[in-house]
Amino acid sequence: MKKSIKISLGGVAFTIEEDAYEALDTYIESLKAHFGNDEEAQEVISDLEKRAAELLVEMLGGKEIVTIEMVSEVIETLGKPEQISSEDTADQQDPTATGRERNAKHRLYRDPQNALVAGVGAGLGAYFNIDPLVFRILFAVLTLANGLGAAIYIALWIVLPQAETLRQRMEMRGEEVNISNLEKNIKNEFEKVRSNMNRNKFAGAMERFLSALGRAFVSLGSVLVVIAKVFRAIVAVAFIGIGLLGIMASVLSLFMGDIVVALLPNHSGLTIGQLLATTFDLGSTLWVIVPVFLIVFIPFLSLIFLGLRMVFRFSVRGSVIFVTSASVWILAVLLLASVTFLQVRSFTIRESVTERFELSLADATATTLRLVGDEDFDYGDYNPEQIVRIDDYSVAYSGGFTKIIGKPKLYIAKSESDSFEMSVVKKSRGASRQTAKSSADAVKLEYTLVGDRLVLSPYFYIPYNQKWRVQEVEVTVYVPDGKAIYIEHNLENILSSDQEYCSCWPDEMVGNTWVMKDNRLVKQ
Amino acid sequence: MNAENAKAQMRKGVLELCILSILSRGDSYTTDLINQLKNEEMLVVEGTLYPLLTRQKNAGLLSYRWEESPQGPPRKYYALTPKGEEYLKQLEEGWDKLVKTVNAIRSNDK
Repeated sequence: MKKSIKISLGGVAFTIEEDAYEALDTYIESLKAHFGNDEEAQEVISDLEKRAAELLVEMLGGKEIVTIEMVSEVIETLGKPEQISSEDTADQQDPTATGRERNAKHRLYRDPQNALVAGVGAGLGAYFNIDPLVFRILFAVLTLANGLGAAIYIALWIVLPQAETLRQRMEMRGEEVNISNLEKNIKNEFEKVRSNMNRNKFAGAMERFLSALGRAFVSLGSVLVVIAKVFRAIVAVAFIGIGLLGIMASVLSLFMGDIVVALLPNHSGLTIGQLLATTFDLGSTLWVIVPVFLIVFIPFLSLIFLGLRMVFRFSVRGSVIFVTSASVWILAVLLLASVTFLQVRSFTIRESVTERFELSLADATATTLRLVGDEDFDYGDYNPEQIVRIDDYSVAYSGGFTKIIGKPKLYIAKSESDSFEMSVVKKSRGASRQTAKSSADAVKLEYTLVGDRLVLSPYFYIPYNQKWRVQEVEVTVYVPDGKAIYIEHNLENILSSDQEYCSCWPDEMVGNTWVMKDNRLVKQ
Repeated sequence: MNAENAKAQMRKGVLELCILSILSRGDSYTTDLINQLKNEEMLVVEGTLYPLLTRQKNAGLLSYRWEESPQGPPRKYYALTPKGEEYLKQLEEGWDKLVKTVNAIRSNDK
């Protein structure tokens, strides 16, 4: 089934198929463009139309509907504009006869095909080859300002002719009307012809209304585009800002400065590199820092890049940059993963070193040992501002040296002999028994026995040349049966809450004297 | 060089003469003119004829009138004006002279 329409050609009514109509209309448009628009040309075209009608009537015979084949035959018989011109005798004799000379003109028309109101803006746009929106906005602004815009618009509406034929539309755009240009334009306008096809008056009005509505939306769209551009700029600036801040922060904390500012509550001057150096036994912690830096740096750099690209819209080989940076990033992740994996070996074996010895009180007859925390524990040469606490451990930092500090656990147990005894169990991990043992051995815990007072440091520490290997220290003070121990308040922190000889909490144990009686510690 | 092209150029030169010549034998409407010219292979595409007729008419060589046709719209009948007859005579003289010259050249060649 094909759509057909009714037309009048050369005074004869035809029913014609849609595609046949398109071909015929295009043909006649091309003839008009060729011959021009003066009286003589109009007469020629009207004669040609009559002849075309005659030919069609002949071809139809008894049939009803004009087909594309018939139209092609008509066109072949009458000849295309270029065939006509090649056989036309008058070209040189009478230049004004064909409109060719005048066609080089560039003229201002109203453009009904792209009209929003009467096509003045569209016509100006076509003439100057710029977006009609410019003129529309100009008219709107001038109208709102003092009404001048509307006045100019109406004046132009009256003065300017409407570009109706293909030839006029080409003049409007300043295109030279020659055969090749014509054919190009005919093709371009084919679609427009189609849309004009079965337009009756109502449909035409509706169509114009709808297209005006559509254009209004397009104008609204332009406003939205501006808003989108502003939004885009804001996002771009945010990207650049976040990227720059991120890079600054990561450079500062990894290489130059003080992680504490960003990550930890108090201020020490310790860098992440130094912190990592307490655990990783690589020759250089750069093996860790560089991948960490790249892992952080590349996403921030990408943000900056994206932001700059959104602002300046420079064209770069984005895919190359993406692939490169993504590969570097993945390499960094893999490097960090393998370094970490290798490091895990250093934590596989657990060993401990135990020292146990008698505490010989100065007064051998004394029955009570006083257990006191060392108030003057000075973290070595460190002051408290240089301590960074991480979980159960602290890292003291001064003059480029670090020392890891841990809390021992204090137990009170029963002595099998008649005298007070003390044991220190130091534990550590290592890649082998030997390294674990030597690491445990290196842990330092300070204590002194003065008279009947055992002064115990509430911290142990790992010397600078030793790495962190989850070192732990358990201190046990053994109390003989019938003798007593007094525990100072300042030891509450290190007293284990898991006491074999007393089901009591550390806060209960401190500040009291306890007697070992029948395998129990009894409060005196 | 193209023989078809050269022949087209020749036809182009004498088409005017042919039109006037046909009309000198009696009034004729366009389609009759076309049929005669086509039979004699003077015309390749019909479109060529219309601008020529209109120009000759506007130059006062031809006049035309509308006549009702048995079927379809009225037809345009062309007739030669006295000025047209005068013009035709000139063209005929020119043509005869041209044919003589061309023939003389061709027979001398042989």
